[in-house]
Amino acid sequence: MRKLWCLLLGLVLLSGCAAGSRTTTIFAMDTVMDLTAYGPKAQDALELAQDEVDRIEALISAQRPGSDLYAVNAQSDVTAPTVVAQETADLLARALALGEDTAGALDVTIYPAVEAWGFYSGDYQVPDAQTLEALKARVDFRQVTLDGTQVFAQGHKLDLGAVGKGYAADRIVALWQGMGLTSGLLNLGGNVQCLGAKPDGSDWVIGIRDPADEGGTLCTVSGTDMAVVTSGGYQRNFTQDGVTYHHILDPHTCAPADSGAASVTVIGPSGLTCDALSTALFVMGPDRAAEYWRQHRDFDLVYYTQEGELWYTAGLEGRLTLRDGLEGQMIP
Amino acid sequence: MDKTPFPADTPARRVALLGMLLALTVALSWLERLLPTDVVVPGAKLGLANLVVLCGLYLFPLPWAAGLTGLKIAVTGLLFGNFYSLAYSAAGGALSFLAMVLCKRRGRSMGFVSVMGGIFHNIGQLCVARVILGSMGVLAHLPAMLLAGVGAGAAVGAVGALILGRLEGFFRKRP
Amino acid sequence: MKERKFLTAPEAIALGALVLALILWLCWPKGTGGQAVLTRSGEELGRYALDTPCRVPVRGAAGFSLVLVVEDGAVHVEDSTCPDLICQHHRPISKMGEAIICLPGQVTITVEGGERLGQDAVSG
Repeated sequence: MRKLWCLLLGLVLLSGCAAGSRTTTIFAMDTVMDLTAYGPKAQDALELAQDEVDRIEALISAQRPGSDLYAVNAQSDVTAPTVVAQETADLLARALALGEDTAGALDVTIYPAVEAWGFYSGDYQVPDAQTLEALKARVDFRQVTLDGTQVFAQGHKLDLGAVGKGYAADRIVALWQGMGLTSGLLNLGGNVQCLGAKPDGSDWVIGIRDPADEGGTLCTVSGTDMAVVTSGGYQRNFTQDGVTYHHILDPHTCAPADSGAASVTVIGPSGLTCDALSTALFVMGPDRAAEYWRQHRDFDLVYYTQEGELWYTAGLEGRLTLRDGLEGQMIP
Repeated sequence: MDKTPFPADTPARRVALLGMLLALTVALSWLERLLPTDVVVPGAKLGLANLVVLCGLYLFPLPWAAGLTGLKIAVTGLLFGNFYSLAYSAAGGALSFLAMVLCKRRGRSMGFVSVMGGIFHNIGQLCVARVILGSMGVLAHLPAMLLAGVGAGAAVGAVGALILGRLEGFFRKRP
Repeated sequence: MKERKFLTAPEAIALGALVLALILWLCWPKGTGGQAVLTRSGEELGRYALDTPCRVPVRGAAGFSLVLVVEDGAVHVEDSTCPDLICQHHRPISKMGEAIICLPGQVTITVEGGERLGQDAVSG
């Protein structure tokens, strides 16, 4: 009798596996990812997304033996090229171009510096001045060249971590669009990306985390078909002798960027670009970031400084709702 | 092991009883529709017609009882309902019948059998609602519906016991 | 035909326990929810904060429609065209887990928590 009871209750609960919205949480790229798809193909969409994330991670994770980047970094002959997949080459090309565009605020050759600070292993340490000098010489993306699918790293070690999640988000959205989905939401370890509008046609409302309060938000941004990516020192850091060192290194100093930024959020159509820019603009500091935006104007920005000032771009007017008591200023 | 408790052992008697019970079903279903539906629980019927199923279980061998249940669902579904109510009725009726047969087989008393029937009737209905609606909202109505099932089952059981008692006396007097 | 008991003692106890459990479940105080989640045929259509009054016309399945109304911190249904109107007669709901269901229209309105009210995700 009891078995029948349990079986029947189980049926009640399981029987709802029909159409609708589906959400899944996976662990990949060293972080937690929430994926939500809407529509009759939602379940398939989620499985496809998970496979795609795993595939990308296996391809470009510098830490993963067998990945293209791992092979590039393991290249012993500094003059010889490493052949990578076309996809990796394309991604690398975009990252190098962004590096050029941001005057080196984004640098894919930052690997040795990140390693030296212990952010890969978890064995945190503060490198001494000599080590930092040596590192600065090793970090220079301009010495990396691409010829088709051949990467001439010239002894430099590469890391695409600054664009990996953004790229994965773009790929998932493209796949879902190809399947005919018109609504979906991704949160890849803090990289948020929206496909279309919400199922009822209204805008997505995305909060931006408050650096000082893990459960709170600074503001919310509404929109459709957009990526919202935030970089902040609070995301990963360690404290030694009373000083806190975060993971966003300035390629010019090979030390945590001390630009006055607390949290930088870039909003735009491409996850890859937003991911790369959020890091680069954090490193640049508010003034240079504002200048960069003025020269490009093809994305939106929410810049929160350590002094508590919040700056935002004109494109966010009407889409931004600030937390009670927080004042924002438009970037001129 | 289909020993009937009453001497309704000739096919003729069974058919006659069957006919009476089906007529009773129709009357009870019609009566049920007249009564106001419960506001708290969506579409929960009192389950008066389950009385017929219960009687069938104690009057007929299993195959006949199953047949009666099936006929009851079909007849009331066709006469009084639409596709959805047929689905709820079928699921509720089937599950309820199954539960009652199992309980009876394991020697439970009539009151218990009837209450179980009432409970599983509503579980069956909620299952179908869950499938059709696809959301967990139905879970909110589970406790209320189960309580209703207990109540209906108890009432049906009491009336059923009365009826069967009378029928037994009737059959005893006429050899 | 031996005399049969209507209900044995152990059975009565078991049923009594069940009824008690169900009553407890039913009456257990539930927290006030923050948002109403609207679904049709299993598909989530939208979420509406209970502190923001609104009227949302909903087209259900099989041509039935209703209006989801949020007011006074609760949600209820008006102007339903479904045959039994159970959804419309349901009292306004505002507690976690409560639900209003329109079976013919395959529409459910469930109350859920509202901690990150109005936010679909948080970046950073």
